[in-house]
Amino acid sequence: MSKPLLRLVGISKSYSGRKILDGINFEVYPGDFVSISGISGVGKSTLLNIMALFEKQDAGEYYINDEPIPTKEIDVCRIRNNNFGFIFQAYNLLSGLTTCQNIVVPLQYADKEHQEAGLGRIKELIVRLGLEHIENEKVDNLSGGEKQRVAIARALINNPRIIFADEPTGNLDISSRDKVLSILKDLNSLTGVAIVIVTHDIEVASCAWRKLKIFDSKLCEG
Amino acid sequence: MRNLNSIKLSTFSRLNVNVIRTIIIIFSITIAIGCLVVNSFVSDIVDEANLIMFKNTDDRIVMMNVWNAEIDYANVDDVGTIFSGCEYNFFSRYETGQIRIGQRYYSVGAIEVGKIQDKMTLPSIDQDGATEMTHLIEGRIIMESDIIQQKNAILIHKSVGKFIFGDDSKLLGEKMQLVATSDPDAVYEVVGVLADTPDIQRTMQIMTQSYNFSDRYYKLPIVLSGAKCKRVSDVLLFFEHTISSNTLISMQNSLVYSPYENIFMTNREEEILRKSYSTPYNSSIYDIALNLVTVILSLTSVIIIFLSIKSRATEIAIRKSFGATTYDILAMLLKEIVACILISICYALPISTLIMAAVSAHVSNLLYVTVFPLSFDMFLYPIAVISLAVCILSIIPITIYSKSKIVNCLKVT
Repeated sequence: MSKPLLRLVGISKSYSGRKILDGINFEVYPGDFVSISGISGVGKSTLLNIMALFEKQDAGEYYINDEPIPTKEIDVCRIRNNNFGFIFQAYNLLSGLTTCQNIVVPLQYADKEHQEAGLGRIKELIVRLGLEHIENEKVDNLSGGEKQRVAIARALINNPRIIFADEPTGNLDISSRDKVLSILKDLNSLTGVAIVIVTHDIEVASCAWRKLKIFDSKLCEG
Repeated sequence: MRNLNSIKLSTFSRLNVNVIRTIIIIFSITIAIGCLVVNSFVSDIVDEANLIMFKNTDDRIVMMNVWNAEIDYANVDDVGTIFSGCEYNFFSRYETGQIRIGQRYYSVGAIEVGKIQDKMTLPSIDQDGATEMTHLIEGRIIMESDIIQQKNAILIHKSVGKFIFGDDSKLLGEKMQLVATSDPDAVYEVVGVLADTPDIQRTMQIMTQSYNFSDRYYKLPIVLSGAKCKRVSDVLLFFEHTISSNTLISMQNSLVYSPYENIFMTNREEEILRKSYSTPYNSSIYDIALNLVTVILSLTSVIIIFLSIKSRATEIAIRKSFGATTYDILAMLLKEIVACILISICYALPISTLIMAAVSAHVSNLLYVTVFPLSFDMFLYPIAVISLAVCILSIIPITIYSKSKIVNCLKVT
């Protein structure tokens, strides 16, 4: 079996004395498609934030490629840039910029090698995600589904090993939701990129190969 | 393959999102720089316009020096300098016997007493350290015998001589009194006439060359406007706090009868001066107003920049989530601020130049044509101050938002 891309060992997190996560053990392998579901406020997003290095755990160990997380900001930023892609519920695109400009944002912070590879991928991503007609359109004028596809392209531009998606279909109608899920599934099966998706939508969660849920601050098979 | 820059990722392209905010920032910085430039320019005028000359009813010339609104004899000496009359190889400063400006000592060739040639070149140095050359065109320079016999000899520039004693005067042998010197009662005799120096402010600083105890000459800038003290009563008020009562009495005696009888003025000049006396120009209020506007506008810029950065907290968080470091964010936002400052400078320079031209035109209506050539440092200092202030103050909010937690700034829904 291949090495895990990401490994959480005994991760705990509390807010205002309330334990949200308690001794979470979790691993993500290359090609994984994991969904983490649970009711609102159960700690799904907190777990995702910890995995994405947006937050620090109170206790436990976190390894990426079998190495502990560095303490220096610049090293953490490099890990995010080289390994992770993000898809948010609210898209979080940069308003005022075009589709293409938004897609290349991660490349601004990549090293030269990744930058060149990413620039070579732009056209392919735009075509794959059906964004040709809005390539030079300002993202403010796009529909929800289009915005999320731009966000997916942005998440993929650096050829990440894991994509974290936090309620990626939460703001979309059913047709757009199905399209986004289909794209994610295709990406996972065609490129082998691992996807960790956090959702409270059972239908979305059912798309994943591994279905987990958070219950009583613990992560369990769903 | 595309080039990253070809996708117009310059951070400045984001500015169009906040057009109004950007315009306000540029406007504020422009006016702030303009105010500071004009203020520095006006201060220069005020600093220079400090010596008022009158002639009283006894036909005695009275010069009063108001240096930066404070009467100080030492300043009269410091204005000065000038050249050695004896065998000194160095200019002498009052205290040390040498003139030192910065790290440099200014020297002149030894002048052998008694072997002075009429056309001899005499170097002089003004209060800004600019060395100029002049030469004797009539009479003699001050001799050792003058010192021994304690004669109060004075050299005078031709134009100031004509100005004081009239065009028909021979100048040599004329007598005058310099109030703002260590011996205000002493009567000086003109023993030599110097060619006017091509001083940078020659038209304002008509010079007299007078002998001083420490073997040197000094020049007195004579300006007949006196921006800070246009009324004699004001001047006397200044004097009252700073000089000895004897000198004050002597001066009051000189002025009390007809302080405005400046017979060396033409009617037009007199009228202009009278007009300017009747509309006193309160430079201190002007200074305060300009400084206040500068500070307010600079702060406005910083506050708008702060708000702008606050509104871009989400953008900062998005960029950080894709690998931007605090340094990257700082560099990106500072680039935008510097771009605003550079645009502001482009606007501020012509605007302030126009305002300065207007102020200068007002000043030139005074008795003497005043020429203030625009110099680079006049602009450099205000630009540097405002730019640095805005940049440094902007770093604080940028750093705060760059350091804040990504999840707190990202839009959730």
